[in-house]
Amino acid sequence: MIVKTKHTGHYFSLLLILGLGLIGLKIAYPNRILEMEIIILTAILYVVWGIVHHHQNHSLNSKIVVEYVLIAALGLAALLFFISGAFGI
Amino acid sequence: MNFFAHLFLPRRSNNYRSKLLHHHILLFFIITLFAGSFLFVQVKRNYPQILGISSDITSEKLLILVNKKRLENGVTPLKFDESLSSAAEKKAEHMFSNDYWAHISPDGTTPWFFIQNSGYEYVYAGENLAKGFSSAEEAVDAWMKSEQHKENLLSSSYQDVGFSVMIGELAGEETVLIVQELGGRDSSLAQSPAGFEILSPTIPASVQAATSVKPYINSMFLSSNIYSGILGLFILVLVLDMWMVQKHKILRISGHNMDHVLFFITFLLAGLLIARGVVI
Repeated sequence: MIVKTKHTGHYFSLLLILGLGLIGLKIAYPNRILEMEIIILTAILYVVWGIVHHHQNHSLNSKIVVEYVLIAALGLAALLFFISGAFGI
Repeated sequence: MNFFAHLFLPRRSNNYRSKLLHHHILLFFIITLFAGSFLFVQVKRNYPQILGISSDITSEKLLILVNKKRLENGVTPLKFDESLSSAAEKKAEHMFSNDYWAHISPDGTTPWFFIQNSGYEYVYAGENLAKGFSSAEEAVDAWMKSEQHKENLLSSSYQDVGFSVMIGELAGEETVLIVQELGGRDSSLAQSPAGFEILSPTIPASVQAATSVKPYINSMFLSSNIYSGILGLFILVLVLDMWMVQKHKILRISGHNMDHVLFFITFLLAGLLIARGVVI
């Protein structure tokens, strides 16, 4: 039961980070620089969240840190590719 | 078949983690996407006839859609006017050459300047602007959702309209710009919409040709498909991997797939938010 509550809290905070990122994008539109800052901040917070989450679960190790960094970087690289193609920037 | 199972499903051959989720494969995708972004911009700059933004939006489509909305709201349809169309084109050129996105330019030039110079003698005049839309329907819908633009579109004070659809760079960003100039020469000319129907408008070929320059590959279409394809692929792999791990009760040290799925879904939605058009 304790584990479940802990997980619920963690996932609530993750959804809050990701949801706030999307709300931020909606507000920032069409300021492209601010949009990029919000996207990068969301990706950084995602990595931090992953580290904190695994640390509190006593499952943190270097491989997991690298995994969260790579997933965040993949999201950013894909979005950069999309923006380059769509807007030529 | 074995190869795909190796890529997508956790099994002995991939150390019980879908091969596509291994760190070096993720790194390969990251480097390829970064290099691809650089290459995309270079090809677009140097070979715009091959790769660039293209648009299927035409003055004809816009006129049909606007008149449809007017008829639905009991307002007389607008007539296509070449002078207003020329004013719209001059306005679009002025915006691109002076790099601004507004009704009044930084040097104080108003829309009425372009309309007057085109030879259209107006009693009423209005302007709607849109950029970044991929279809005429989306642009007209966005105008209809904005109270001020809707008022312009449905005003019975206007009898004539001209459009310009132009592709160019604003603030370093390639975009499709739509300028709509509305005009009314005499308010007494406003007629009842009864008896009007939407016919194929007659728009001079020179006006239509100006709006249909197309590169070989539409970069907007290509990049958005690759973007959603890659994120979709990883969401699929993560879900399959998660499902197999739970089904076979595999114990391993790794991050939580559900976290990554939520992250990628957020980025898919972010792409949609970033790519939408804007009206003023």
